[in-house]
Amino acid sequence: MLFKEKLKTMPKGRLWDEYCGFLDLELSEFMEIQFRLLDEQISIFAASELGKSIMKDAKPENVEEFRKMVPLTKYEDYQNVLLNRHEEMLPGKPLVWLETTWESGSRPVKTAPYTREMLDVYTRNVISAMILSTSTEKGKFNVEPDAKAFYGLAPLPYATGLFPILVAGEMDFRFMPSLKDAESLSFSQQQKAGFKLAVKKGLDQFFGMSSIVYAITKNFGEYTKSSGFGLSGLAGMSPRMLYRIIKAKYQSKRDKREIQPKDLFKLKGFVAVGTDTAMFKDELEEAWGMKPLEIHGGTETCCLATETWSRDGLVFFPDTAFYEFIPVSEVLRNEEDPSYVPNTYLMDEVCANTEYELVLTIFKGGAFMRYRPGDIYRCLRTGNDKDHLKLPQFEYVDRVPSVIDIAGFTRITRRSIDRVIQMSGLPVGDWFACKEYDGNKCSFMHLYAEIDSSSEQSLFLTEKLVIEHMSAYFRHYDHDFNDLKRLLGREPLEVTILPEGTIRSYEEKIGRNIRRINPSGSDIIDIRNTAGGVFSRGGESFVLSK
Amino acid sequence: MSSVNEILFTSVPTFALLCNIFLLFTLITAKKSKEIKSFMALLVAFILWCAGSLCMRLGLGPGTEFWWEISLTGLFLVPYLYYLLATSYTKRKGSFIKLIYGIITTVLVILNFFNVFVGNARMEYVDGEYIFKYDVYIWSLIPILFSIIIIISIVFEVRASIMDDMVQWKYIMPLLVGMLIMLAGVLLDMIPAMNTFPNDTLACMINACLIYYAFCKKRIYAVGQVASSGAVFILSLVATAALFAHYGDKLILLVDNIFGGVIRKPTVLVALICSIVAVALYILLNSLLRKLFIRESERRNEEVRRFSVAVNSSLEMKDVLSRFYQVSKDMIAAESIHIAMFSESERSYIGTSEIGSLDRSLTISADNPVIDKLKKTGEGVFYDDFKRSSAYRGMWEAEKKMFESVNARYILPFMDGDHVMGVSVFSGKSGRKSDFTYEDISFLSSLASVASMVIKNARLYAQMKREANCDLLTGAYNRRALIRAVEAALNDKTKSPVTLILFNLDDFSLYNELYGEAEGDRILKGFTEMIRTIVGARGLTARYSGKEFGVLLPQCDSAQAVRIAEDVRELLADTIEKSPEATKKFLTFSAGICTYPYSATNMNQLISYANMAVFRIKQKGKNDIAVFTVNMKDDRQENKGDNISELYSTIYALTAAIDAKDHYTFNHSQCVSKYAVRIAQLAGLNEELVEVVRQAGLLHDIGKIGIPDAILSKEGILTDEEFSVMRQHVERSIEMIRHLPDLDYVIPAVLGHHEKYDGTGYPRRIKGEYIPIGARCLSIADAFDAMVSKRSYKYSMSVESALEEIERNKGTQFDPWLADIFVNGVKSGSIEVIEY
Repeated sequence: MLFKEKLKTMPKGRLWDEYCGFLDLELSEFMEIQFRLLDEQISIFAASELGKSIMKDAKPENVEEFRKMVPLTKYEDYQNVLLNRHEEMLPGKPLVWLETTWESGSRPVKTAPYTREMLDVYTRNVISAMILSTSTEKGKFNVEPDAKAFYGLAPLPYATGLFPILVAGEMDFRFMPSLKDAESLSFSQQQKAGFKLAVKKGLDQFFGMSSIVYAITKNFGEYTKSSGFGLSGLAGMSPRMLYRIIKAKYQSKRDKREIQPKDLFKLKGFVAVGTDTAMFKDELEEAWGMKPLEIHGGTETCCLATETWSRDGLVFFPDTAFYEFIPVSEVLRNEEDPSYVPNTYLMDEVCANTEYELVLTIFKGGAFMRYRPGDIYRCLRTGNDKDHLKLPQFEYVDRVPSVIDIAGFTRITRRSIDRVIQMSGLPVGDWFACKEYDGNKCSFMHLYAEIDSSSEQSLFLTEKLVIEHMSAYFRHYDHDFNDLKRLLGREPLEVTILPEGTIRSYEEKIGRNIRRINPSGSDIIDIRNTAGGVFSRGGESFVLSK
Repeated sequence: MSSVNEILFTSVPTFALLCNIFLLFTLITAKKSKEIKSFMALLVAFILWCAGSLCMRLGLGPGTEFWWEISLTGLFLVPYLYYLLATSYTKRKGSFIKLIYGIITTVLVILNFFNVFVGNARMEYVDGEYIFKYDVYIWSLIPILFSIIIIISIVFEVRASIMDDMVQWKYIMPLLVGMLIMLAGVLLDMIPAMNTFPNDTLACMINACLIYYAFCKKRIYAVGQVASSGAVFILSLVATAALFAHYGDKLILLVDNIFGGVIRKPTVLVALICSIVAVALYILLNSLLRKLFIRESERRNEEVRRFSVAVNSSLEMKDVLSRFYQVSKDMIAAESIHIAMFSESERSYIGTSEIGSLDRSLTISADNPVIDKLKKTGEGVFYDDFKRSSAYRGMWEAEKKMFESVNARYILPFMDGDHVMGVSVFSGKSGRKSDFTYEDISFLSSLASVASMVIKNARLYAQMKREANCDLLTGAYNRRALIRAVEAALNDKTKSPVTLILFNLDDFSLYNELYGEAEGDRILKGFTEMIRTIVGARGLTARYSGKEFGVLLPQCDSAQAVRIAEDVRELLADTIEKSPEATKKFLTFSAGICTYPYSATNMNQLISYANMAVFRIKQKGKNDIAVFTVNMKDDRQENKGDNISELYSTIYALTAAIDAKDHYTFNHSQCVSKYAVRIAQLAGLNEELVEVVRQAGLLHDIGKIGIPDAILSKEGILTDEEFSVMRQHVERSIEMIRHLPDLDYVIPAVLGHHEKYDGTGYPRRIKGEYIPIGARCLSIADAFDAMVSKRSYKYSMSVESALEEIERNKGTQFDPWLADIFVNGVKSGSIEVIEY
């Protein structure tokens, strides 16, 4: 039975139990499901060629043996099979292949196979998130089978592109623009067209990348102007929306403020995806009249976790993947010494207020075992008395320190920066880069670079020139980077030129090397001080006295 | 002639009244839940309403006014009672509102008696018809308004209840429809044009039936209870009384007209007719309702009873399951039924077919979430409901497919306390009515309860039966089962040739002595598993005696049996090889094989000759496999007499060899043996043990044969390395003795003669009573003889000094009790000191 039929024929309480009942699980029951499905996955995976190459001859009989015998993996371990799409070597027959960039385009496009069973789980979990996004308390929700939905997530072959297709199979959502129309539009065109339609027809459900939603919210006035606030836009506008627009205009004039999304739309559900969601939530709630529900996942990992009705912490779905957690201290140790095998902890072993890197074994014939997608989560609490939850809740922190993730769109690594510097031909000597936020909470990459003084170019190279040069090559090198400026409304790269030798002398002084990607905050401050620069707060690049 | 109007206004309320009374009586027998009580109260209000209306129309005494008030009282009570019914049905609370509504209703009813709302009720004769008339006052708006408020409250409660999932829409709909029909009936009566029909009483009856339907649908009440005898009897009486009330006068007149001349009192005949009508009505209604409702229920009860009788006399699981399968299939038109029973060895529920054989299309692992659910509830679960639970997320895809493949709809457990002994999986029902009804579930639950009890007994019986034929330690068949199986195989010509292998573990008593009985038991279990693994379905494995196992191999010759025995030996060797303790390597077996009809002609011969083959191997040094031949019989006869003398000649020959190797210890072995024997004798050990001590004394240093002469005869103190080599003589002794036929029993004493009482000796560092008593005797004797004799590294010590030394070390090196015996024995002369 499809979800839309269930909505009509089944009591809401039963629907809640079916889709959100996992939130009532005891931790032991949650682990029971995890262990059972891990057993299933091990048996399927070990029988496949891919499994044999990863597990060697390991035949773990319990989770302890599993953690001892099966190595932690990265995408490199799967690339020969997955990049060449060797379906016969996989544990399950894939129905869909999803794609994403790999280290900001420094490597081939990453692909991830999805079996029928994985998609079933994905569908159910997405519906769970959708129900929760309309809920304000446990058991109460307001999903309409024919809701008008704005879809602000990346299309296929990205993982988020599966969402509308799977939902469309279960619901009669009126996507704006329709899925068919969206096929011929670029992502930004799709956003604009969707917004235009929302202004005309109204909006019930919003699904979007938090950074994009935030950008739309910040520039709502401009969006509305270009989306039918003029006379020409009246054609085809529903009377209700016309009334709301007039009312919103009147109120905004009266109160001398910009029109806000909540003046126009009465959302029933609001789902936000992306790495910086937590940072934008309060402002989005203020603007849209509803706190967005955060969900997390990834190309390799489906929809992994959702917030609950209180929108205060992610809960992992029990049937998507087997979860292991590496404490950040272990992650750093492993980064310094790649031969070191970090310890992992299970869901019933995590501690509150501790940050972990997530390790996943995808269930239901998934191709990834003990896989490190490179995401850091903080365990907020191991239970929630207020919401009567017995499961740990998490918040997404960021990518692992070795990756710079900007607005959830691109992942930049040391390798990709090296490559861009090399391609640009700029005489950049030593460098390090980190993720920073501007005064508008917009993330960007800050590159601290030393210019090789022996180069002729060094005489006339300014920070502006370096930014222009490197941005051009980044856009060429990484297509995701290409869209960032347009979508976020700001340059995603900042450059600060350091005096030559600053980094080396600092390292000599402290007696160790600093990380080239996301070094610690104290290292950055000390290097700035070493360089003797004058710095301003809020992400603006600082000026060094030379 | 009665007008149509009059007929309608009497017959409809009559029918409504009868219907309500009937429903009320059927509920009397039901279990009084909150809902049932509320419904009964409402029915009473309906009865007052209809009865009042009917009696008023019939013009019965005390008068129109009285019945009018009765009818109105019923009518005024209905909204409040309906509210009570709705709240209990939807499981809502709202006790404060209930109280308020209750007070208002009471006030309204009281006010009604003072004709505040309507009054001046009367029957008027207009145009040849009696028309009922009354005056309506403006205050009547109050009860109308109140009723509307209550209806709104009911709608609100129902909506909230549906939102909270307290009740489903499909169960509440009949109630709401009934309420609307009743409202429509009352409102229609207020329209003059529509007042020509008793809309209110008809609506009241329809409403009662709809509520009844809702109760049955929600399984608050079983529909079959409609046909209870009491209810039918009351209905018949009331119906007859109503008929008599209506047609009594006419009937008396008719009887008087016809039989006036014959019968003086026609009322007697009328009473008789009424009685006959009542009885006929009862029989008719009873039969009709039973046909409608009870027949199926009775049939099911009867089936449960018959099933119970049939299976109670059976202790065979197959029989019980087969009958369960048949009865449930006959009664519940499920497309298929699968039964799976728990298998301890496989930790799964294995499907059994209709006739009791295995059907692995349904195999449910013991940790399947469905089983957990059944365990928690102890009742059947609908698979669709389970699919919507969180537990379903833990199902394997293969498990989901399996349940889908059998079209699972309803899963019923066979429970034994908290343990799920088995499950029956019912597919969807064939035909149009595919849903399982309340009656289906009740029937299956009853059937499963009976089956569970019997299955439990059958399992216990099977377990007892198994235990009677099984060896409790190893789980293999026991000697009795083996003999019975051999007998059966020999009688069955199709199983010829029949081969018997007897596996006899070598030196197993030594193994027990060295590592304890628990370790010995573990080895026995492991060895059983090894044999079973190799033999598989080819034969029957049994523990024949303590360390002896028999394998019966029908349709198998001796060559095949040898291969099997060799495979077992290989597996044992592999296992021992992987064992961490090197000393365990000596665990081997001797296997004797005999085949019927080639080497034996009956069962006794088969067993006895296989034993002979084992004996032969033991004589020849153990750890071998031998097929019985006729020569072995003769060998055994010859060997019997020479055994003891041969044994001693071997021992003395070996002793001489040791003593000759170390001339300082010349006669040492014999001396130690003599001292030790005396200690054993004085300690009161039995003759058998004394004999063991004697032989152990002679052989205790046999391992020194392997020690290099340079070390053995070295003058002065040994280096650590040399001493280490010297200490190995104990282990070497074991290796040598175990290959001597029938001498393995001395090994514990030999092995322990360098152990110290406080546990600081070697090789095993055991202490106190854990050191075999023979070894403790040898220890004293060995030390004493060593002290009083001259060695390459020392001069001889005086007897007194040696005794003092023994006394000083008693409790640390020597057993204090035995040391005292020895010292006292020497001092008293009961132990003679051998002069060197």
